Amino acid sequence: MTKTITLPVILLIAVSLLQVFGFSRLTLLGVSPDAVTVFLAFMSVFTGQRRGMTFGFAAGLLGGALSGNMGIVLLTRTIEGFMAGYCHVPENSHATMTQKSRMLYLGVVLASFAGNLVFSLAKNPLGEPLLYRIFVSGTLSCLMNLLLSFTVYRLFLRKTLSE
Amino acid sequence: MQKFFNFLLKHNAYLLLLLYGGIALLLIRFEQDDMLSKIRSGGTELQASINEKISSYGYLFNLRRENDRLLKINAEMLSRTLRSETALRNAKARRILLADTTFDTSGFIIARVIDRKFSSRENMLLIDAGKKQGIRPDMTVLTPHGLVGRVVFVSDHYAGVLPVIHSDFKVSVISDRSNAMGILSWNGGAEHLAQIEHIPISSPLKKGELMLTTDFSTFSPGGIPVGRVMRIKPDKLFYDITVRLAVDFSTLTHVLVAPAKKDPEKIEMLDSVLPQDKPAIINPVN
Repeated sequence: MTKTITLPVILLIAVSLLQVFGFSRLTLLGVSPDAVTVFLAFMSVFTGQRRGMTFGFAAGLLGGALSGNMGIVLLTRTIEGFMAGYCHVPENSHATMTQKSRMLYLGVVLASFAGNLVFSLAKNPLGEPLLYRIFVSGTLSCLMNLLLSFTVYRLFLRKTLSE
Repeated sequence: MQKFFNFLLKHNAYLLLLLYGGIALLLIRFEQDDMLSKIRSGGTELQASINEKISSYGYLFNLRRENDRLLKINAEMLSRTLRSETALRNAKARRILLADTTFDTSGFIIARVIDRKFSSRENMLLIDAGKKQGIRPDMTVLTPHGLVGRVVFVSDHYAGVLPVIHSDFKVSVISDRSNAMGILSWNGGAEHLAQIEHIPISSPLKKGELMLTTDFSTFSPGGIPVGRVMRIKPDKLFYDITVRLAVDFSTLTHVLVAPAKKDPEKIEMLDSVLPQDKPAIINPVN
């Protein structure tokens, strides 16, 4: 119970707050790294698509309440969890650490791109052309999230997963 | 029946996606609902109070620079007041004749900008004045330099401001010299430049003219500087105009909030004439 629900929920709250008050300020060309997307990708890849989606839904509720765009944030986060779930590595799989990390990065890329696409279609606060938002902002957002996930993996996850 | 359960088990991730997606779409549809507005208001309150604490630490380190800046503004304001007083005396009779009775010019509220989001997902200012300080949606936010934006949502102690540099923001403007009128909007790109549409090429507008808000606006009082014409390019029927905005959004720390226009009859009439398809949070009334 503690390992499967309580800890991830506490982590989710911590990561959401870190995103709203920390990472959202680090912008490059209007794009900032998204710690929640990385967390959702991690949950989806290592615990399954349904759980990833459910955490995405919860992250959307939390993030939406803080940002004011409840509906669209909820939809974006749910889809991020769903997309990353396609890279699910089952607990009993014999995948090596390298394979697991690759699946995590692929999950991050899928989640980032899908989230960016959904958000771009619904909101455009900086008035950028749609294709620019989808491809340039989407790619930049993927790269930033990849860098973040790489850092988090190297610092924390590698040790946790190998245990 | 067994087949149905097998189908559900096989496709349960898709069904869950449908369920969550459906809830999200419902929330998008009812975003203006009272309960959701209360949640948003609570979220804003929490976010703003934490941001205020974070920014107050940075604020302490910038006091010297801030003091210099305020002294400079004071000097500028003093000179502007002296000039205005002279002009006012001369124009007193005309002012009485043309007095705009649609808004109350007293009671500007001073607020501090405690957070600014400028990203492809959010573009909003948060100020530390809310319902308790008398802030209401649709109030005009400005500085001595010019128009900043419009209040779009309010909690008890904080308010969210849709800035001029938001793609959903529009305001009607008039030139101080040639009286050319158009609609100012921001189409993205540099945050100190905006565009004006609907000024016909027959208009005598010149480069360098100051654009002010008009009295037509349903939220803004007339006469607030918005920007200066920087480039005029004639198109087929209308000019393609670029304006350098009067307010520097990158250094914005304090703002004034003007009282709301008391013009319900005009807004009601416009609402009954215009279609009702308003966007979720923002209602870009010019």
